[in-house]
Amino acid sequence: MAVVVSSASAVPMYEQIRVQLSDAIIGGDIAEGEMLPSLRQLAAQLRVSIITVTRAYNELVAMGLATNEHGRGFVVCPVGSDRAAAVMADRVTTAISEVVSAGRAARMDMATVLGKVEAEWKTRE
Amino acid sequence: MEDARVAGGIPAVQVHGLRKRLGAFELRGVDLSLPTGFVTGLVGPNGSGKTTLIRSLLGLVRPDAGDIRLLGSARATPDRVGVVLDQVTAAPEWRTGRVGEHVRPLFPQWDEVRFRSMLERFDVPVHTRVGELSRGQSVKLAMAMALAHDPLLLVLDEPSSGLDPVARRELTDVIREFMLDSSHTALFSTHITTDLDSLADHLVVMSHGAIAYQGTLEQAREQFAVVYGEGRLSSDAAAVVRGLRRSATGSFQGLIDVADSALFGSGIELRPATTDDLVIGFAGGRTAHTTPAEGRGAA
Repeated sequence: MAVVVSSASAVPMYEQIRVQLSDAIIGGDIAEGEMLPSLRQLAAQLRVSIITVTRAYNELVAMGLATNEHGRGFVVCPVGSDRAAAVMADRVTTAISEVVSAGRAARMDMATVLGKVEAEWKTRE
Repeated sequence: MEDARVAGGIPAVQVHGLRKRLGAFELRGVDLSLPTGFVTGLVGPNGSGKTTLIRSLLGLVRPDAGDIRLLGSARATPDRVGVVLDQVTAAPEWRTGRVGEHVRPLFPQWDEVRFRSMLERFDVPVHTRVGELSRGQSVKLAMAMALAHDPLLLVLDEPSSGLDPVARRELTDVIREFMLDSSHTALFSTHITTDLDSLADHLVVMSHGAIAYQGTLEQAREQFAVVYGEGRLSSDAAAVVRGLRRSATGSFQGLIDVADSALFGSGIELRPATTDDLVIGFAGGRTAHTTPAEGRGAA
Protein backbone atom coordinates (compact mmCIF):
# COMPACT_ATOMS: atom_id res chain seq x y z
CA MET A 1 0.00 0.00 0.00
CA ALA A 2 1.12 3.60 -0.55
CA VAL A 3 1.35 5.95 2.41
CA VAL A 4 1.23 9.64 1.50
CA VAL A 5 2.15 12.43 3.91
CA SER A 6 2.12 16.20 3.60
CA SER A 7 4.21 18.51 5.77
CA ALA A 8 1.77 21.32 4.90
CA SER A 9 -1.13 19.57 6.65
CA ALA A 10 -2.23 20.68 10.11
CA VAL A 11 -2.37 16.98 11.06
CA PRO A 12 1.00 15.88 12.50
CA MET A 13 2.99 13.59 10.21
CA TYR A 14 2.97 10.66 12.64
CA GLU A 15 -0.82 10.91 12.79
CA GLN A 16 -1.12 10.96 9.00
CA ILE A 17 0.95 7.76 8.87
CA ARG A 18 -0.92 6.12 11.73
CA VAL A 19 -4.37 6.78 10.24
CA GLN A 20 -3.42 5.43 6.82
CA LEU A 21 -1.84 2.29 8.25
CA SER A 22 -4.64 1.62 10.74
CA ASP A 23 -7.23 2.05 7.95
CA ALA A 24 -5.24 -0.37 5.80
CA ILE A 25 -5.03 -2.92 8.62
CA ILE A 26 -8.70 -2.65 9.58
CA GLY A 27 -9.75 -2.65 5.94
CA GLY A 28 -7.71 -5.81 5.33
CA ASP A 29 -5.31 -4.21 2.83
CA ILE A 30 -2.46 -5.38 5.06
CA ALA A 31 -3.20 -8.92 6.21
CA GLU A 32 -2.74 -10.42 9.66
CA GLY A 33 0.83 -11.65 10.12
CA GLU A 34 2.24 -9.37 7.44
CA MET A 35 5.23 -7.18 8.27
CA LEU A 36 4.86 -3.43 8.26
CA PRO A 37 7.61 -1.71 6.23
CA SER A 38 10.85 -1.30 8.21
CA LEU A 39 10.87 1.92 10.24
CA ARG A 40 13.94 3.22 8.51
CA GLN A 41 12.80 2.27 5.03
CA LEU A 42 9.47 4.01 5.52
CA ALA A 43 11.13 7.10 7.04
CA ALA A 44 13.51 7.39 4.08
CA GLN A 45 10.72 6.75 1.57
CA LEU A 46 8.34 9.33 3.09
CA ARG A 47 11.19 11.77 3.89
CA VAL A 48 10.19 11.97 7.54
CA SER A 49 12.31 11.41 10.63
CA ILE A 50 12.78 7.96 12.12
CA ILE A 51 11.12 9.08 15.34
CA THR A 52 8.03 10.18 13.42
CA VAL A 53 7.53 6.67 12.01
CA THR A 54 8.42 5.12 15.37
CA ARG A 55 5.67 7.14 17.01
CA ALA A 56 3.10 6.10 14.39
CA TYR A 57 4.08 2.44 14.83
CA ASN A 58 3.98 2.67 18.62
CA GLU A 59 0.45 4.01 18.39
CA LEU A 60 -0.57 1.12 16.15
CA VAL A 61 0.82 -1.18 18.86
CA ALA A 62 -1.14 0.72 21.53
CA MET A 63 -4.29 0.28 19.41
CA GLY A 64 -3.64 -3.46 19.33
CA LEU A 65 -3.20 -3.45 15.55
CA ALA A 66 0.47 -4.45 15.44
CA THR A 67 3.14 -5.94 17.66
CA ASN A 68 6.84 -5.19 17.82
CA GLU A 69 8.62 -8.52 17.42
CA HIS A 70 12.18 -7.93 18.48
CA GLY A 71 14.67 -8.78 15.80
CA ARG A 72 11.99 -8.96 13.11
CA GLY A 73 10.02 -5.77 13.07
CA PHE A 74 6.38 -4.76 13.36
CA VAL A 75 3.84 -7.45 12.54
CA VAL A 76 0.13 -6.90 11.89
CA CYS A 77 -2.13 -8.42 14.55
CA PRO A 78 -5.31 -10.33 13.85
CA VAL A 79 -8.11 -7.77 13.75
CA GLY A 80 -11.27 -9.27 15.19
CA SER A 81 -14.50 -7.81 13.90
CA ASP A 82 -15.24 -6.43 17.42
CA ARG A 83 -11.92 -4.65 17.51
CA ALA A 84 -12.32 -3.22 14.00
CA ALA A 85 -15.83 -2.06 14.87
CA ALA A 86 -14.57 -0.37 18.04
CA VAL A 87 -11.82 1.47 16.18
CA MET A 88 -14.23 2.58 13.47
CA ALA A 89 -16.75 3.75 16.10
CA ASP A 90 -13.98 5.78 17.75
CA ARG A 91 -13.27 7.51 14.47
CA VAL A 92 -16.96 8.41 14.06
CA THR A 93 -17.01 9.85 17.59
CA THR A 94 -13.92 11.95 16.89
CA ALA A 95 -15.35 13.24 13.61
CA ILE A 96 -18.69 14.10 15.25
CA SER A 97 -16.88 16.06 17.92
CA GLU A 98 -15.16 18.11 15.20
CA VAL A 99 -18.46 18.71 13.40
CA VAL A 100 -20.09 19.89 16.62
CA SER A 101 -17.16 22.23 17.41
CA ALA A 102 -17.21 23.70 13.90
CA GLY A 103 -21.00 24.06 13.99
CA ARG A 104 -20.95 25.86 17.33
CA ALA A 105 -18.09 28.09 16.20
CA ALA A 106 -20.19 29.03 13.16
CA ARG A 107 -23.17 29.69 15.50
CA MET A 108 -25.36 27.16 13.71
CA ASP A 109 -28.18 25.44 15.57
CA MET A 110 -28.24 21.67 15.95
CA ALA A 111 -31.00 21.17 13.39
CA THR A 112 -28.98 22.99 10.72
CA VAL A 113 -25.91 20.87 11.43
CA LEU A 114 -27.95 17.64 11.44
CA GLY A 115 -29.53 18.72 8.18
CA LYS A 116 -26.10 19.11 6.62
CA VAL A 117 -25.03 15.69 7.90
CA GLU A 118 -28.17 14.15 6.44
CA ALA A 119 -27.67 15.86 3.09
CA GLU A 120 -24.04 14.66 2.92
CA TRP A 121 -25.12 11.14 3.91
CA LYS A 122 -27.67 11.03 1.09
CA THR A 123 -25.14 12.09 -1.55
CA ARG A 124 -23.30 8.79 -0.85
CA GLU A 125 -26.36 6.56 -1.17
CA MET B 1 13.50 -4.86 16.15
CA GLU B 2 16.59 -2.91 15.11
CA ASP B 3 15.53 0.19 16.99
CA ALA B 4 14.77 -1.53 20.26
CA ARG B 5 18.32 -2.80 20.31
CA VAL B 6 19.65 0.63 19.48
CA ALA B 7 17.61 2.37 22.15
CA GLY B 8 19.50 0.50 24.84
CA GLY B 9 22.88 0.96 23.17
CA ILE B 10 25.74 3.31 23.92
CA PRO B 11 25.20 6.89 22.71
CA ALA B 12 27.32 7.57 19.62
CA VAL B 13 28.54 10.83 21.14
CA GLN B 14 28.90 11.54 24.85
CA VAL B 15 30.20 14.88 26.06
CA HIS B 16 30.51 15.82 29.69
CA GLY B 17 31.55 19.18 31.16
CA LEU B 18 33.19 20.43 27.97
CA ARG B 19 34.81 23.84 28.39
CA LYS B 20 36.81 25.79 25.86
CA ARG B 21 37.78 29.45 25.85
CA LEU B 22 38.70 31.00 22.51
CA GLY B 23 39.27 34.73 22.87
CA ALA B 24 36.04 36.34 24.00
CA PHE B 25 34.06 33.18 23.28
CA GLU B 26 33.60 30.37 25.76
CA LEU B 27 31.94 26.96 25.71
CA ARG B 28 30.58 26.86 29.22
CA GLY B 29 30.33 23.30 30.40
CA VAL B 30 28.53 21.42 27.63
CA ASP B 31 26.87 18.08 28.37
CA LEU B 32 25.63 16.25 25.31
CA SER B 33 24.46 12.78 24.43
CA LEU B 34 23.62 11.72 20.87
CA PRO B 35 21.65 8.48 20.63
CA THR B 36 22.95 5.89 18.17
CA GLY B 37 20.71 5.30 15.21
CA PHE B 38 19.27 8.79 14.97
CA VAL B 39 19.83 12.16 13.33
CA THR B 40 20.52 15.07 15.66
CA GLY B 41 20.15 18.63 14.38
CA LEU B 42 22.45 21.24 15.94
CA VAL B 43 21.18 24.81 15.70
CA GLY B 44 21.94 28.21 17.21
CA PRO B 45 22.98 31.68 16.11
CA ASN B 46 26.47 32.48 14.86
CA GLY B 47 28.84 32.52 17.79
CA SER B 48 26.67 30.26 19.96
CA GLY B 49 29.33 27.55 19.93
CA LYS B 50 28.18 25.02 17.35
CA THR B 51 31.40 24.96 15.38
CA THR B 52 33.63 24.96 18.48
CA LEU B 53 31.60 22.03 19.81
CA ILE B 54 31.96 20.14 16.53
CA ARG B 55 35.66 20.93 16.26
CA SER B 56 36.14 19.69 19.83
CA LEU B 57 34.32 16.45 18.99
CA LEU B 58 36.60 15.93 16.02
CA GLY B 59 39.77 16.67 17.98
CA LEU B 60 40.46 19.80 15.93
CA VAL B 61 40.54 21.97 19.04
CA ARG B 62 41.76 20.87 22.44
CA PRO B 63 39.18 21.38 25.20
CA ASP B 64 40.20 23.20 28.40
CA ALA B 65 38.18 20.70 30.40
CA GLY B 66 35.68 17.91 29.95
CA ASP B 67 35.23 14.48 28.60
CA ILE B 68 34.41 13.45 25.02
CA ARG B 69 33.60 9.96 23.87
CA LEU B 70 32.79 9.10 20.27
CA LEU B 71 31.39 5.65 19.49
CA GLY B 72 32.10 4.58 23.05
CA SER B 73 35.78 5.46 22.93
CA ALA B 74 37.81 8.45 24.09
CA ARG B 75 39.75 8.27 20.82
CA ALA B 76 37.50 7.23 17.96
CA THR B 77 39.45 6.17 14.88
CA PRO B 78 38.93 8.70 12.08
CA ASP B 79 37.89 5.76 9.97
CA ARG B 80 34.61 5.39 11.79
CA VAL B 81 33.73 9.08 11.68
CA GLY B 82 32.77 10.77 8.41
CA VAL B 83 33.11 14.54 8.36
CA VAL B 84 31.62 17.18 6.09
CA LEU B 85 32.84 20.65 7.05
CA ASP B 86 31.98 23.89 5.32
CA GLN B 87 35.12 23.50 3.24
CA VAL B 88 36.25 20.32 1.55
CA THR B 89 39.36 18.78 3.06
CA ALA B 90 41.14 18.13 -0.23
CA ALA B 91 43.89 20.14 -1.90
CA PRO B 92 42.64 22.53 -4.61
CA GLU B 93 45.03 21.16 -7.23
CA TRP B 94 43.90 17.51 -6.89
CA ARG B 95 41.62 16.14 -9.56
CA THR B 96 38.40 15.03 -7.91
CA GLY B 97 38.56 11.53 -9.35
CA ARG B 98 42.00 11.02 -7.82
CA VAL B 99 41.24 12.30 -4.32
CA GLY B 100 41.12 8.70 -3.13
CA GLU B 101 44.77 8.14 -4.00
CA HIS B 102 45.75 11.03 -1.74
CA VAL B 103 43.55 10.35 1.27
CA ARG B 104 43.28 6.56 1.40
CA PRO B 105 46.47 6.17 3.48
CA LEU B 106 44.49 7.85 6.27
CA PHE B 107 41.52 5.55 5.90
CA PRO B 108 42.22 1.81 5.87
CA GLN B 109 38.56 1.19 5.05
CA TRP B 110 38.52 3.52 2.03
CA ASP B 111 36.30 2.03 -0.65
CA GLU B 112 37.33 3.50 -4.00
CA VAL B 113 34.42 1.87 -5.84
CA ARG B 114 31.98 3.41 -3.43
CA PHE B 115 33.71 6.78 -3.71
CA ARG B 116 33.56 6.70 -7.51
CA SER B 117 29.93 5.66 -7.53
CA MET B 118 29.03 8.52 -5.17
CA LEU B 119 30.81 11.02 -7.45
CA GLU B 120 28.92 9.63 -10.41
CA ARG B 121 25.61 9.72 -8.60
CA PHE B 122 26.20 13.33 -7.54
CA ASP B 123 27.36 14.30 -11.03
CA VAL B 124 30.71 15.58 -9.77
CA PRO B 125 33.11 15.77 -12.74
CA VAL B 126 36.12 13.54 -12.04
CA HIS B 127 38.69 15.40 -14.16
CA THR B 128 38.06 18.82 -12.63
CA ARG B 129 40.42 20.14 -10.00
CA VAL B 130 39.00 20.40 -6.48
CA GLY B 131 39.66 24.16 -6.46
CA GLU B 132 37.49 24.65 -9.56
CA LEU B 133 34.37 22.94 -8.20
CA SER B 134 31.23 24.94 -7.46
CA ARG B 135 30.06 25.22 -3.85
CA GLY B 136 27.46 22.50 -4.43
CA GLN B 137 29.98 20.18 -6.09
CA SER B 138 32.45 20.69 -3.22
CA VAL B 139 29.87 19.63 -0.66
CA LYS B 140 29.02 16.58 -2.75
CA LEU B 141 32.73 15.71 -3.01
CA ALA B 142 33.04 16.08 0.79
CA MET B 143 30.00 13.84 1.24
CA ALA B 144 31.44 11.22 -1.12
CA MET B 145 34.74 11.33 0.80
CA ALA B 146 32.96 11.05 4.15
CA LEU B 147 30.93 8.03 3.06
CA ALA B 148 33.73 6.30 1.14
CA HIS B 149 35.22 4.89 4.32
CA ASP B 150 31.97 3.47 5.66
CA PRO B 151 31.63 5.59 8.84
CA LEU B 152 29.38 4.86 11.79
CA LEU B 153 29.09 8.53 12.72
CA LEU B 154 28.56 11.30 10.19
CA VAL B 155 29.27 14.86 11.36
CA LEU B 156 28.13 17.68 9.09
CA ASP B 157 28.89 21.33 9.86
CA GLU B 158 26.79 23.74 7.78
CA PRO B 159 26.84 21.50 4.72
CA SER B 160 23.75 23.07 3.19
CA SER B 161 24.71 26.75 3.30
CA GLY B 162 25.09 28.11 -0.21
CA LEU B 163 23.32 25.15 -1.78
CA ASP B 164 20.23 25.46 -3.94
CA PRO B 165 17.06 23.55 -2.95
CA VAL B 166 17.78 20.71 -5.38
CA ALA B 167 21.28 20.13 -3.97
CA ARG B 168 19.97 20.40 -0.39
CA ARG B 169 17.36 17.76 -1.13
CA GLU B 170 20.06 15.49 -2.59
CA LEU B 171 22.15 16.00 0.53
CA THR B 172 19.33 15.18 2.96
CA ASP B 173 18.37 12.15 0.87
CA VAL B 174 21.92 10.82 1.19
CA ILE B 175 21.69 11.29 4.97
CA ARG B 176 18.37 9.39 5.02
CA GLU B 177 19.98 6.60 3.04
CA PHE B 178 22.92 6.52 5.48
CA MET B 179 20.41 6.22 8.35
CA LEU B 180 18.85 3.03 6.92
CA ASP B 181 21.50 1.23 8.98
CA SER B 182 20.45 1.44 12.63
CA SER B 183 24.08 1.44 13.81
CA HIS B 184 24.60 4.79 12.04
CA THR B 185 24.31 8.21 13.68
CA ALA B 186 24.37 11.71 12.19
CA LEU B 187 25.01 15.14 13.68
CA PHE B 188 23.90 17.93 11.36
CA SER B 189 24.63 21.58 12.16
CA THR B 190 22.78 24.11 10.03
CA HIS B 191 21.24 27.57 9.82
CA ILE B 192 18.75 26.33 7.26
CA THR B 193 16.50 24.80 9.88
CA THR B 194 13.84 23.71 7.38
CA ASP B 195 16.37 21.09 6.27
CA LEU B 196 16.00 19.53 9.73
CA ASP B 197 12.21 19.67 9.92
CA SER B 198 11.44 16.21 8.62
CA LEU B 199 14.94 14.77 8.97
CA ALA B 200 16.18 15.32 12.52
CA ASP B 201 14.97 13.06 15.31
CA HIS B 202 16.68 15.03 18.04
CA LEU B 203 17.40 18.72 18.34
CA VAL B 204 20.16 20.54 20.20
CA VAL B 205 19.80 24.33 20.49
CA MET B 206 22.93 26.27 21.47
CA SER B 207 22.97 29.77 22.85
CA HIS B 208 25.85 31.79 24.29
CA GLY B 209 28.26 28.87 24.52
CA ALA B 210 25.84 26.52 26.30
CA ILE B 211 23.12 24.06 25.39
CA ALA B 212 19.75 25.74 25.80
CA TYR B 213 17.58 22.81 24.70
CA GLN B 214 18.19 19.15 24.05
CA GLY B 215 15.40 16.71 23.23
CA THR B 216 13.40 15.21 20.40
CA LEU B 217 12.23 17.58 17.70
CA GLU B 218 8.66 16.37 18.21
CA GLN B 219 8.82 17.11 21.90
CA ALA B 220 10.17 20.60 21.18
CA ARG B 221 7.27 21.21 18.79
CA GLU B 222 4.75 20.17 21.40
CA GLN B 223 6.39 21.90 24.33
CA PHE B 224 7.02 25.36 22.84
CA ALA B 225 4.81 27.91 21.14
CA VAL B 226 5.11 31.48 19.95
CA VAL B 227 2.85 33.82 21.90
CA TYR B 228 1.44 37.03 20.39
CA GLY B 229 -0.48 39.70 22.24
CA GLU B 230 -1.13 43.40 22.79
CA GLY B 231 -0.51 45.73 25.68
CA ARG B 232 1.08 45.15 29.06
CA LEU B 233 2.37 41.83 30.30
CA SER B 234 2.20 40.88 33.97
CA SER B 235 5.66 40.37 35.45
CA ASP B 236 4.87 36.66 35.95
CA ALA B 237 4.00 36.35 32.28
CA ALA B 238 6.98 38.40 31.09
CA ALA B 239 9.30 36.21 33.14
CA VAL B 240 8.44 33.06 31.20
CA VAL B 241 8.80 34.52 27.71
CA ARG B 242 12.05 33.77 25.95
CA GLY B 243 13.28 36.28 23.39
CA LEU B 244 10.53 38.77 24.21
CA ARG B 245 10.14 41.37 21.45
CA ARG B 246 7.85 44.39 21.38
CA SER B 247 6.75 46.22 18.27
CA ALA B 248 6.28 49.97 17.86
CA THR B 249 2.51 49.44 18.02
CA GLY B 250 2.72 47.89 21.51
CA SER B 251 2.26 44.25 20.56
CA PHE B 252 4.62 41.63 21.91
CA GLN B 253 5.79 38.20 20.87
CA GLY B 254 8.15 35.55 22.12
CA LEU B 255 8.68 31.89 22.82
CA ILE B 256 6.93 30.17 25.72
CA ASP B 257 6.46 26.73 27.15
CA VAL B 258 2.80 25.92 26.41
CA ALA B 259 2.42 24.88 30.06
CA ASP B 260 2.84 28.57 30.93
CA SER B 261 0.13 29.83 28.56
CA ALA B 262 -2.37 30.22 31.42
CA LEU B 263 -0.27 33.10 32.79
CA PHE B 264 -1.28 35.25 29.82
CA GLY B 265 -5.04 35.42 30.21
CA SER B 266 -7.32 35.40 27.21
CA GLY B 267 -6.14 38.10 24.82
CA ILE B 268 -3.27 36.17 23.26
CA GLU B 269 -2.65 34.01 20.26
CA LEU B 270 -0.41 30.95 20.21
CA ARG B 271 1.09 29.25 17.21
CA PRO B 272 3.36 26.20 17.12
CA ALA B 273 7.06 27.06 17.30
CA THR B 274 9.28 26.38 14.30
CA THR B 275 12.92 25.46 14.77
CA ASP B 276 13.84 29.06 13.88
CA ASP B 277 11.51 30.28 16.65
CA LEU B 278 13.41 28.07 19.10
CA VAL B 279 16.76 29.48 17.95
CA ILE B 280 15.50 33.06 18.24
CA GLY B 281 13.73 32.49 21.57
CA PHE B 282 16.63 30.73 23.26
CA ALA B 283 19.15 33.24 21.90
CA GLY B 284 17.10 36.09 23.39
CA GLY B 285 16.78 34.42 26.76
CA ARG B 286 14.32 35.47 29.43
CA THR B 287 13.88 39.03 30.47
CA ALA B 288 13.77 38.55 34.24
CA HIS B 289 13.38 36.13 37.11
CA THR B 290 15.55 33.42 35.62
CA THR B 291 16.25 30.64 38.03
CA PRO B 292 19.93 29.82 38.62
CA ALA B 293 19.65 26.56 36.68
CA GLU B 294 18.18 28.27 33.65
CA GLY B 295 19.99 31.54 33.94
CA ARG B 296 23.17 30.24 32.45
CA GLY B 297 21.60 29.33 29.13
CA ALA B 298 19.33 32.33 29.04
CA ALA B 299 21.62 35.12 30.23
